[in-house]
Amino acid sequence: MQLPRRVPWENLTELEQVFAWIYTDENDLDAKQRAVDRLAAWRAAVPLPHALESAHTILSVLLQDGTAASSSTCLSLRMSYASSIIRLVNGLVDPLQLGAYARSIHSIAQQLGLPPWLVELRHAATHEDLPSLEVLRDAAKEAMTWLLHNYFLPTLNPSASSTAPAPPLRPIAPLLKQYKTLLKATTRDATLHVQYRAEITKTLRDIERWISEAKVASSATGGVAWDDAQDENDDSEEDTREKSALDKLCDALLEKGMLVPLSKKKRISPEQGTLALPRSSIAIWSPLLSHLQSLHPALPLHLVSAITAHLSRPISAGAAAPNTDFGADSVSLEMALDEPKTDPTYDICLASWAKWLIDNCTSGTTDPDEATELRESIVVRIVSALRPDRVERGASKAANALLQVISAERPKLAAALSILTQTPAQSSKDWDENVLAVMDARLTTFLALQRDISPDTLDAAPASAPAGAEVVQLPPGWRKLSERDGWRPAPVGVFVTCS
Amino acid sequence: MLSAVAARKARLAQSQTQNTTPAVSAPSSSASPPPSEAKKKAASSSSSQKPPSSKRKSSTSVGGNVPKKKRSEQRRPPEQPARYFAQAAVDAFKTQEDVIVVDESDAESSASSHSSRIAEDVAVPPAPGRPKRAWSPSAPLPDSSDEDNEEGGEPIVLDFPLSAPLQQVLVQPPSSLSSFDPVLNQNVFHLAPGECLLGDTAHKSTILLLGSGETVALLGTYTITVLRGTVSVAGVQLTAGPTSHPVYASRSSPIPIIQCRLSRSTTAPTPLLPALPERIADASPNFDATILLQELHTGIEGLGRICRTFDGCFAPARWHRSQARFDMGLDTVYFLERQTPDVSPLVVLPSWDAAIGSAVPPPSVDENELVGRAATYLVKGPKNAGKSTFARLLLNRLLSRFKRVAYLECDLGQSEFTPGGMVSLNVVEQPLFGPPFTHPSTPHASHYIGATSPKNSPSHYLDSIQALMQLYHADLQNAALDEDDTSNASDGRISSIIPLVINTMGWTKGLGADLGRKVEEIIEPAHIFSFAPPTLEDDWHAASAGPSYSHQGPVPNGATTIHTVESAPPSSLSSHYTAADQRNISMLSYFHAVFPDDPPSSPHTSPIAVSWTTSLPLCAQPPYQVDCATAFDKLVLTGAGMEDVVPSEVHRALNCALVALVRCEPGTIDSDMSIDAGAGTDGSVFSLSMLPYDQGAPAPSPYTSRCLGLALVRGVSLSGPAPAQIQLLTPVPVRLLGEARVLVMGEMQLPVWGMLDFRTLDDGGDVAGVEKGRVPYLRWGKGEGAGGERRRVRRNLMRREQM
Repeated sequence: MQLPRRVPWENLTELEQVFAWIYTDENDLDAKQRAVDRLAAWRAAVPLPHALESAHTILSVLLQDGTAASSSTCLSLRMSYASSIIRLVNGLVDPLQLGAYARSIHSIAQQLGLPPWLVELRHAATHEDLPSLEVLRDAAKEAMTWLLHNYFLPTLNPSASSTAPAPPLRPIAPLLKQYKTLLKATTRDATLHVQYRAEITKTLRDIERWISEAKVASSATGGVAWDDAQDENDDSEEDTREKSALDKLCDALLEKGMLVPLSKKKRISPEQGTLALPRSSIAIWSPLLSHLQSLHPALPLHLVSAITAHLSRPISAGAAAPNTDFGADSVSLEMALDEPKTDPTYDICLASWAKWLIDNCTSGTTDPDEATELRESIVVRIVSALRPDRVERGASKAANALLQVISAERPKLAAALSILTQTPAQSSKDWDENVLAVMDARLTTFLALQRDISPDTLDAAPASAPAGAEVVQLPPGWRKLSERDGWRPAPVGVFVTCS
Repeated sequence: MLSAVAARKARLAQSQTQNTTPAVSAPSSSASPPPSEAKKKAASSSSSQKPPSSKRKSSTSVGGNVPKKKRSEQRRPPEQPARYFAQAAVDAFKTQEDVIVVDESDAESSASSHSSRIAEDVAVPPAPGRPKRAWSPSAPLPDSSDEDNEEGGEPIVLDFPLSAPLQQVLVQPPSSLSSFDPVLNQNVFHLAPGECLLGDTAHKSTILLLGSGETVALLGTYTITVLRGTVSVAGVQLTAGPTSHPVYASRSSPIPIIQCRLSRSTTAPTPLLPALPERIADASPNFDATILLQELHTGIEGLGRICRTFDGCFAPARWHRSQARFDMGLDTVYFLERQTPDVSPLVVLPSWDAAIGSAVPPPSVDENELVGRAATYLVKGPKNAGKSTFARLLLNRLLSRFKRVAYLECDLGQSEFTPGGMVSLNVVEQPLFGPPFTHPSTPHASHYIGATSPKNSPSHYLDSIQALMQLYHADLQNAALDEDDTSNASDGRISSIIPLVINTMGWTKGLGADLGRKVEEIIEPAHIFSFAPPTLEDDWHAASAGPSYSHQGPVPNGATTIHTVESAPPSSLSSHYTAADQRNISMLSYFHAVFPDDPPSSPHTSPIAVSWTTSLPLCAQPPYQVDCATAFDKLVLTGAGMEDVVPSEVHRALNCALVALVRCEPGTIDSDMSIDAGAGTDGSVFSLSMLPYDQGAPAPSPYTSRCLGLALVRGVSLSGPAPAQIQLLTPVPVRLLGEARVLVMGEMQLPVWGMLDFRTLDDGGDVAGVEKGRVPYLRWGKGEGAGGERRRVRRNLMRREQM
């Protein structure tokens, strides 16, 4: 569920007012003072968004600089400027430190479009000689301009596209290819392993870095539906970021030449029917998968989702049909594949990977409970995506084979599937008067229930109802409002005028 | 420090009477002479169900250190494959050492530590067994900074809760919660409406007959009355009597387990109790205890609809709901036979039991001997160690000896009786069974700090505690003497002394440690229960130092006894519900609570909410309208940066804010703060602001003021010629409102759940008829633009080189 977050303004016009005070006339110190006062009150009410808080601090330093002509020491001014810049940069960069390891502030600033010299200034002000007043003044102005373009304008005009679009995400395919080449070499000739170890580690780290970049990019471009909530629930936001990054990774992994070898001979022949992967594929990819899984436990789930999304395409539509029928998920996949659609060996190979994931997803964990949980959720995902009815219709051999293999190991599932495939036992033929009568009876019982309940719920609100006696006891200046005074429910924060 | 002999004695006494975990109970039940055939069967079957108990028994008799060490090594799961983090490997090594060293060093007090060692083997797997968690960007690393009380530092759980399920598996392999095997009309009787014995006849009742040692786990809200025998609930003994105890067993915290004790007293029914219906009376001699369960309807389950994180927490999770379970015949109660991942039982660790047993005066000590002896019990330790649970247990245990027990809450983040942000002194008469949000109270006295951590106002925090301690010494400690002692005889509890339990905050490093030490100096507790620091690299040496550790007490005060207790095993619940979630539900519970309007019967007790109005959201509840000029003398803002709020803008800060209603002693409010003064500073415009706001004024001194409760400012009006009006929502009883002449606003906020309208949350999300996008002060969806979010602090970022 989507939760809103508290904002200090009643509506955006109030923010616009502050915006106008700050930016209309750079030399109007009175207006700036008003803005500072308003921001201080807002800050007391609600923790402010970082950009606003930074604007508040920088503005108050600017005011201090503008009014205190007789200030005896410039040092305090320099300190104030410096700390406001440091806090601005840190506060902008910190939320984007999403990985286990620190990324350089420079690279994040670049992604944000923050002027690099502000980052340098931050470093200088923190660790080196305190910069000169002149530089600090420039920096404060620059920071205010940056906030104008990157916070105020986009917030006030949500439709307008961001003035500084984030740099697009680099493709991951080259990284994966490099990894594949390295692993191919080492799996064929084990002696090479020592020689390549450093390079393999580096590639793994590059892939990790790519994932964290993808997370940041997904937030910068706003390409996903946000279900973020109030601050305490930030993890859900994290989740979406991670999800979208992992989905991108999975799409890339499913391209031909990655998990599925380019050469059809190296995949498995569909006749084999056991959904066994060629040993070479496993040797190449399992180190990467298990490594990534240790960092992103949800990876197998995403991979399986991507696979089933592919397998569950209604192939009956024919290879030539345009992909109008696809869900939003599979569209990107299709575009990425860019290949003729029916490729039975590819499908079978994917199905085999799904099977492999079920069997091997738990290698990283020692906890049996969690392992079964993960395994079950993977199976659930597969089964729900490849529903028997679809498979019947869609005639994807690979999907069928996958379902069979899974259910062969799980008798309960097999039983459930066989029931499902027996399909409509109760058709509309069975309708008769009796059914209607039964439904009527149920409806009346249900309605009766509701009637029973309603007095209860009324009883549950004793404190709000009784007025008479209490009004007398209330101290001077206090009065309990009721509907008779014209009080009506309204959102918190709205003063309801009463008689 | 306890002597070894005393410890052994205490252990013995404990093991005979107060075995709390089901596993422990089996040996004692089979050893006791069963009074009847039926009971023998029950006992033997219950013991055969639990292989671990017999195993443990044998190991106890074997004794010696060497085999034990071997065993603990065998128990350790096989070496895990080397994983990603080198640090984890170091950890494993450390803890391995830990196991061995503890074994060698405890030769001195073998009895107590011996048995607790064994218990630890069974209950708490040695740390290497914990699975390494997948990395999560926000789970605090061991060496992360200390200000974890801070709002931004909430652990944000991103990864799978890897550690939790494993813990549970190892805690109780059969994962059975109830050893009681319910059979209708044999040991379970549903009472017909006419048969009802006690209390509210409108609600359904059920009678359970329990055999000694049998455990019953129930989820939901109910009252329990012990009609015969002795029963322990959540580790607290209840003897037969007419008192019915409300129990709130919520999935959001460990649920209390009801266990039948072997009763050595006579089986004759207590005269105060009505006779049982014949069919039950006939069956009951075959059993050791008879308890009466009644439905409890308080409206508290409605809080789950308001704060959806707690939706349905008084009922089994949806995916377990369909599962067949025994029908208790009560609408609000669910019988839990087995453990499910979302429910964990409240486990009273043997070391807790022992520590409390040694600190609480045993019944043999005469009342007169206790007079004049300080009875202050301070609980301290790092966060998530189980402080609150332990303090509640201690409180409940003391209540079986004393008629009233005082409770001083110093943890601003997760308070037991009040919403966060205040230190409070409560006086409790009946044991509490339920998480904090199920018993909000009107404290005996409290002071509002205004934040969930004292980091911004440490001296005010300390002053507040000092003021409450003075009050305790002056009013409570021995004040009950002047009350008539007629009630004393009825339940045999001591009423002339009110002992004090102090719960401290979990911020135990940096400034927090400093504050903690000062708090101890102020309180000068007679007993300190110190949670053993978790076995981390840094803290470990302190723990292993054993006896010397206890001498590190802040005051070299001979009168202070320090008991070191082990931390509670991490439960899966802590990953489902964060500290912020618990804070939210406490706050919402407070604002929806209904406090008894009449003054309490005794001036010493703190009334506890008995019902909740959850049929209407806060936005639809009629508020009070208050004329500020008439009703209030002063408005104070406390917290970092609040000094900058100018009078002309203060109403913007005040709208939607939480304010404390504070009573100041007459004459202590600055009289120069007249309403005109606010208008004076800048002339025309500001004359509208009639709020008696004093910019930059300090919070009222805790020595001359008291916080009466919290209120939500749901609207402020400054328009028109009328004086400033504010609309307030508050559960504070009407009789107290007149005394509240000062408003104090801090940094605390109403959780966003409280601003929503739960009635339309699922379809559209309108709030009181205003469509979603137009609701003031709320914003859905992500704001565009950089820096549009609150700052977020990362304290566990690693450098590449650390890899």
